[in-house]
Formats: sequence, structure tokens, C-alpha cells
Amino acid sequence: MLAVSLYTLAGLGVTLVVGAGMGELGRAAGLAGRPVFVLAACLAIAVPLAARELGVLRFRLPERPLQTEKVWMHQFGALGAATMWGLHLSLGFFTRVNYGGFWMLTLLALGLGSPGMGAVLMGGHWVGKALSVWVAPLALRTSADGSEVVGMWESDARHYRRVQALGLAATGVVLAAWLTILAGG
Amino acid sequence: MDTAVGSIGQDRLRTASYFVVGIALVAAVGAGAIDLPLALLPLAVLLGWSHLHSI
Repeated sequence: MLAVSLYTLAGLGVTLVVGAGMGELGRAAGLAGRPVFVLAACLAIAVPLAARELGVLRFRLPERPLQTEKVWMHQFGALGAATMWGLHLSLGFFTRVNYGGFWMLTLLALGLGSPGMGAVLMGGHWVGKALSVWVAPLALRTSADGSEVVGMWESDARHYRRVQALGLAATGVVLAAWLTILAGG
Repeated sequence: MDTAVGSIGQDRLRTASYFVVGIALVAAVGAGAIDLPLALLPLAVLLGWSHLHSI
């Protein structure tokens, strides 16, 4: 429980700072004053990303094809490794990115030019990622080995791709509604 | 991993996933009714939830 809490909190801290930093970067680049352009661009990008998850389109996402270091368990112990994994995985940019939602939220965090919104988006994404570590033992009613859980998850990848597509589609609906409100003045 | 045990585990995780999806979508509608950009928070959680290789 302590290890999972450390994993979650370490990652949350990192994602809040990174998200706020991206929002600040977007603001400095002058994107905050162009919400219509940013929302329209993100909406246009959400469509092919959702189509990719459904298998309609095939293209590679930008990623570093690396996974986190399992040897940290031996080097730092359970608590130290959980913290290190949380720090490493939450950065997102330094490990594998198999799903488009991460890049959608990254673009929004940057494009909206709001540190608060950037922190909310990237922190929310991390909470969702970390949720699997909390929910899996409850759903399985056992403290299953992490690699076993990942195996179950991966063998049902089609379901999670559909969920990712649904999340992207719902995000697209929110962006379209936001654009409509802005257009209506 | 035993195939039958794996299959039961997979079914349970999928059921849990449906709960997460439902809660996230309801939360997005509720948050969006208060302030539209806030709807993106539960959707960000949903996008993170279905992001594999997180363990």
C-alpha cells in the first residue's frame, strides 16, 4: 500500500510540474491568445488519433521505445523502486507511448497556454495510469504479480484501444463544444 | 499463468474498466455542465486509464 502510494504521489508531483511547465511554455509562445486555432488544431488531430486506436489508420506515434528499469527493485528496494518508477513513468516522454491520448493531452496542455490547465490535464492522465495499480488488486481480489496483471491487460488490448478511442472521441466533442461557444461570441 | 485463471482475471479487469469508463464519462458531463474545460479532467483520467505499460 505504501509502495503504491509513493508510486502514485511521486508521479503526480512530476506530472503537475511538467503540465504547468508546458502551459507556461505555451503562454510564453503566445498560444494562450489563440484558443480557436489551438482547439481546432487539437480537434483535427483527435480524429486520426481515435481512428488509429480503432485500427482504421496505421501510423507510429513519437516515442522512445524504452521501458522502466526493473533492476531498481534490487538496487533501491520496494519503496525506493516504486518512487523511482513513479518519477520515471510519469514523465511520459522517456518511455513507450502506445496510445494517442498522451499526445492529445500534451498538445492541449501546451496549446491552451495555462499552467493550471496544463497541470490538471497531465496530472489527470497520470492519475488514470496509476489507477490501474490500485484497481487491479481489487478487481482480481488478490495481490497479483505486476507482470501477471500486465499480461492480462495486454491480452485484452483491443478493449483498451476502444476505451482510448472513446476517450479521444469524447475529448473531441468537448473541444467542438468549446469552439462552438467561442464562435458564438 | 494458468489460462483459466488468466481469463477470469481478464474478465474482472474488463468489468472494472467498464466502471471506470462509466464514472469518467458521467464526471465529464457533470464537470462540463459547471465549466466546459473542466470536462477535460475526467477525460484525461480515462485516457490515462486505457494507457497500457503503466506498471
